[in-house]
Amino acid sequence: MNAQLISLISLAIFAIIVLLFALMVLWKIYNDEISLRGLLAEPADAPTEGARRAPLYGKASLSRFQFLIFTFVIAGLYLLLSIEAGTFVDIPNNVLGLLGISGGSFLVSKGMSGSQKKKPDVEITEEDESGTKVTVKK
Amino acid sequence: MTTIASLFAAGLLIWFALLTVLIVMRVLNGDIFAAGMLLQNESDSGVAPERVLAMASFPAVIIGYAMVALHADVSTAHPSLPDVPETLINLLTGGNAVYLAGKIARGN
Repeated sequence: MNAQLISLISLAIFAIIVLLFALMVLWKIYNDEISLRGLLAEPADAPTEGARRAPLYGKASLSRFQFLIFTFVIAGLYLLLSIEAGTFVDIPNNVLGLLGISGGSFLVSKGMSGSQKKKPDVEITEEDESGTKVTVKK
Repeated sequence: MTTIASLFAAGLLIWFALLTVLIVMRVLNGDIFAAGMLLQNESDSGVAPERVLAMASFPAVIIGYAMVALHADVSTAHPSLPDVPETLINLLTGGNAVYLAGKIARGN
């Protein structure tokens, strides 16, 4: 068995393993074993008064959607051009900048939503009718 | 060797295409929640104009860049994804800046 044959068999085994793994992921997504329901949704707010529990997901996020589409388009084009060229193609800095703008907007948006939802508790010490000091969180 | 590599490349492309189709179908069927993207809050009755602007600008950037990339010549010694035109970067930056400004102004 010469070296070329060994490398050929190795490549075939590697290709089969990677493709099987990729197909398994796709199959699990198809069967909902890997759930994508919340792919675009923001985390749900706390349950409203009277509601038993909070909804599982909030409304869809524009920045998440944008980031998803950008990632898919750039990854798809990279894959396509790499196959066409027969080698890995270079990624120019401004393409990374494009992804950075999209990702940056997503992060800023998430940061702002998070800071708005997490309001700090304020402790106020009050005296009740009997003159006892009571600390209340507001 | 070339045959195996070609099959592997074709397999990867098919996998990527199937994943894309799966996600698109799930969004269209409502299995992936995609409602309320143009609203600031779930309780809002009308859409936020800055979100409409952002929603209109980024597909234009994506389509513009995809058109440039699909016509790129990769038969050179150092193949590369094409540069993004300055106009598209400005368009995306502007759209996202307006979206974030609106989010800040509305306090959420």
